[in-house]
Amino acid sequence: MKRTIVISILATFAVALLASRCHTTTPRPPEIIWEANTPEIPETLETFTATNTSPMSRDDGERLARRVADYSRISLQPAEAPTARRGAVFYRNADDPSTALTMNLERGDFLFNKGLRMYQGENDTAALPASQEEAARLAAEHLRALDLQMPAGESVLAHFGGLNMAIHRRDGTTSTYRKLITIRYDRRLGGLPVIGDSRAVLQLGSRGELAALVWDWHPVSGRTARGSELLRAPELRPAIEKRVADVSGDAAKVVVDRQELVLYDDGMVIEPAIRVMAQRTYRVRIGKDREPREIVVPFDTIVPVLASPRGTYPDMLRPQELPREASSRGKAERSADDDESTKRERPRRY
Amino acid sequence: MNQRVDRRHRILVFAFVLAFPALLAFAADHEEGGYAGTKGEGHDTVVYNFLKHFTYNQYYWTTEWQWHSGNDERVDAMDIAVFGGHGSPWSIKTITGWIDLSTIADTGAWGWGDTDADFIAFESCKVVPGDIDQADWWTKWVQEPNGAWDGVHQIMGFRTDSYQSTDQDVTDYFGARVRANYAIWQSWFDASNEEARSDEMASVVFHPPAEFDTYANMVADPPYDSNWIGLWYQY
Repeated sequence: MKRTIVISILATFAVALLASRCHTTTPRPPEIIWEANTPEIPETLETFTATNTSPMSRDDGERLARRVADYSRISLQPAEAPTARRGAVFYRNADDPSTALTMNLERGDFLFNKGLRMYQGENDTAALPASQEEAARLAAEHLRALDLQMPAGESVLAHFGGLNMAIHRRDGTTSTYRKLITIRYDRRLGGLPVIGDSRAVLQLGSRGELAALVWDWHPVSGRTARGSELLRAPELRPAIEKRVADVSGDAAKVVVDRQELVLYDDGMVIEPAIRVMAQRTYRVRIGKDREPREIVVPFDTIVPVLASPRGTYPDMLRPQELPREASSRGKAERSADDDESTKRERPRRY
Repeated sequence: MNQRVDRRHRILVFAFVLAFPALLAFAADHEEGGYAGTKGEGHDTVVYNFLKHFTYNQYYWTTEWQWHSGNDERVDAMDIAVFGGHGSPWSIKTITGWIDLSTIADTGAWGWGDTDADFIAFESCKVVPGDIDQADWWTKWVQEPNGAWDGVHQIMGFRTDSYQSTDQDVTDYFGARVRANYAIWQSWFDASNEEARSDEMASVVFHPPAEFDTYANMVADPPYDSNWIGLWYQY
């Protein structure tokens, strides 16, 4: 009788242990709620390829650096960039570590930041552009002066905002200062919004001067994709559902609230894709009391519409190495923080 | 002739002996850590894309312990740490649970910066609010005794949502810039302009004298109980 009871207890314990192991190693797939349908795919769609396929030379890069430096009245020197992407060239200014010109010679895109030294300090920037219209006019002037053109009909105002600085002083007082104005243009091709690399972002400073610029507007040529080249909604739906489930980790629920047909720009090709927007709900425990709470976070993912896409999409990227399991540190890393034994008083250091 | 060669050798050896501690110090002083807050959502890629620019020191699926009572051995043992995962104002999701960053210094490990941490970047939603999001944007960082702000120079993140379609590119560009020794938070903001969506807005809280820190050239740590703190943010 005694033996039966002991065996029953041990068996119950083993089953409970196994269940808890299974629970931690194979999370249940999230419940997916579809509040937005996959858009119908037209019979034909334009797909695009960069036409500036011959890389810029180092001399071309040097000329671009000189043009930007002359226009901004600063000096730029070539900088070491030991780990930058293939084709990348970096420039810097010896007096301001926030000054940067980084360009990709293979694609012709670049980022320029004149530097924020001159915007340091507790003061508003004098004579910032006062309106979106004024910022747009100044942006057009800067782009024209640098011989950069957004082809007619391709640009859409995507954002008008800026850059502020705030301070909390030792005496507890606070202030906020307006430093720069930002205006950003995104791209439209063939009537569809382009997401991904394409953009022109300008930051405008004192008296409307060019404070920073991201220029990524490579010329493209298009061709028409049709027939079996394109996936249709009935084929896309399971692909989207799989993608959403695959990248949702331990979320309890995913509400897909938006799906739209877009073009995705990976830097070399611009291809039709579905941008899926969703809200994920996680059931988590927070704080020392392990209070249960539901947290909702948004996410997006891009699913190609071409049956054989040439682009590199965000979810295709995988790290060359995986992180180490935290449990290698033992129990302390696996469990919640409840270690009061190490609590000690802070010394007065100052 | 032989004497001259000997002399050259001696000079070279002497120079090496002189330089060796400095080289060691440089290597030892620069440690990078990456912490992925979820499994199966691509945040390992986000973290790795920063770490790959360095011979990094730590790369973990992250737990609360690494930010809280164990931070002296993890996040605070690094000069620069990057988190990839979910967030909300002053909090992040780890593998073991959601952690409130405004109370992490309530153990003997204190907050970040009393050991080594100089720069921490959160590639996640809303962890660093701006003053247009939270009027009191500073207290939860600097409050004593439990605030995380214990000597760290800059804490970077986003004041808005950030998205998985762009986050791995933001950390990649940021890593290249930090490695090339540009100013730190300015590189984070440039990465946001270069790679992020038009509705993703970067933000940073910083120790004012450390505003132009680079990875190789930074000012002295602020005192652990400093409440002097600045904020830059995009809107």
